[in-house]
Amino acid sequence: MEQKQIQLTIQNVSKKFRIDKGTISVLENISLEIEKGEFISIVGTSGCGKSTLLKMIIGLDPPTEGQIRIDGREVVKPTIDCGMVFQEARLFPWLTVRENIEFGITRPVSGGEKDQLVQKHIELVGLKGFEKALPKQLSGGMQQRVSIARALVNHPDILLLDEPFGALDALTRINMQNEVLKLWEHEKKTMVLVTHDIDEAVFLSDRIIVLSSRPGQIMDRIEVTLPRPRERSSDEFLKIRSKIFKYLMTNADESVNIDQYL
Amino acid sequence: MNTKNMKKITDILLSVAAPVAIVILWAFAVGSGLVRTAILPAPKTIASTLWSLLESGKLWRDMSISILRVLRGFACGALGGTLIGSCMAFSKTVNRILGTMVSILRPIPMLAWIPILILWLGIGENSKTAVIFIGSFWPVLLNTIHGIQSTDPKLLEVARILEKKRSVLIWKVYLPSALPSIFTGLRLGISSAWTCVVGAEMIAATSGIGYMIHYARELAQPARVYAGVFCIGFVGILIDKGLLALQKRLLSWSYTE
Repeated sequence: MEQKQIQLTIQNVSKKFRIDKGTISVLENISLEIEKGEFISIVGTSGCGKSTLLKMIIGLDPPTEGQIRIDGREVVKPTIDCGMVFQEARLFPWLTVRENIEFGITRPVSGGEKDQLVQKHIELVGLKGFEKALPKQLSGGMQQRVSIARALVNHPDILLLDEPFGALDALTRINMQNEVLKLWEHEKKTMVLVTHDIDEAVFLSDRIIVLSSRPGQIMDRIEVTLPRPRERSSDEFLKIRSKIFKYLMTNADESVNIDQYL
Repeated sequence: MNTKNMKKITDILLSVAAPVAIVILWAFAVGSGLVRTAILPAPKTIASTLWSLLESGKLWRDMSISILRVLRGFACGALGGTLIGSCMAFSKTVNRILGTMVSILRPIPMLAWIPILILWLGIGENSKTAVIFIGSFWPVLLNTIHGIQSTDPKLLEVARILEKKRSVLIWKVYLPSALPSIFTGLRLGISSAWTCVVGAEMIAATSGIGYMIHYARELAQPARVYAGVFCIGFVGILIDKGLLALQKRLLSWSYTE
């Protein structure tokens, strides 16, 4: 039996924002341990603070209380051990696909190695032949591929995905989910995905963390043990899906009769 | 392809329609004696004056003097504007120190500077260069500051996550993102420089296109005045179109099409 290794520890983390004279509690008492190589999803309704949690993990925003540690070290600022993909591709419009991915390299590497690294990642996300294209010449899905390659090219230990496919159309989204699954199996990185797409979470994750709406608290941790690739219409899949759906619907608005949606 | 060409031809026709109509009306007004030729000579007279000025090389001599002045002053203004603008945008301290100065000096009209600069620098080339410098400095300065400050915070966040150094942030994120705005500043700056040189030459000069116009008016040669004014407009449009073409070439990423 393989030894499980905890890579990311979130300990009693709370986050409050000051707005005008009052404070708003966005996240409350979040504790979570993520294993090396695990694919974990955080789902919740909009405004539950799931993106804030990612920002704290990457070190852009400090927690109000509690502590976040990666490999035992407390996160105080962004480091290249942690990569991030946002909902928008956030590519530099003046750089080509190749140059955008090359911008992702922060570690010192020799020129030849750099070219190789970039080329490898262009191929990894299936953009061979588009090296010289500018972001404006690419579709939304392709732009997001570049953004993923840029995050991976530094070889981060953890990849954070903040609703990365939220802006894509349904078909492209399913395509990209398959791609990410392949990447995860191939690169064996720890991945933390924030999403409001329950299907996406069930399709990809080892474990799903369900957050309540504001202030965000962990309502449940659901292990998904179905073998991959998962059949989206299998009974098992749908059972997990409706369980999460129930959580989110009851939580979002008590007055809604959830049975009409199920 | 054919409809595209058709559209191009229609566009060109539309853009020249108004000037052509004005010239026709003008020729008619002068020809019928509605307007005195001492005030407004016929288009034909102006064209032949322009031709003789071109042939004798006088126009080119005055023009080239003015253009050289513009280039000299504009080079200083553009360099100063981008450098000081960058410093003000990147450093809060510099911005505090210079901010008040900028808001006091900027509203002073160009024409008010000319007597002061003549007092300081005399009526030679230096005062003209200084006038053009000031005229082109402001638009470049303001657009540089604006361009750098409006860098997308989302892109800056990406660079922060990638642990980029401040120098990389400046050269690889802020400045490229500010370039379209800086270029707009340069375009505004050079047209302002061109306006300033003519103004300065009309007040104190013994050469240049502004001087030529001023002198022709004193000698009561209206055709020359109009020929000179036409040339100013023509060179102005050439400069702007040239810069616009350059901008489209260099900054093609910023044009959506």
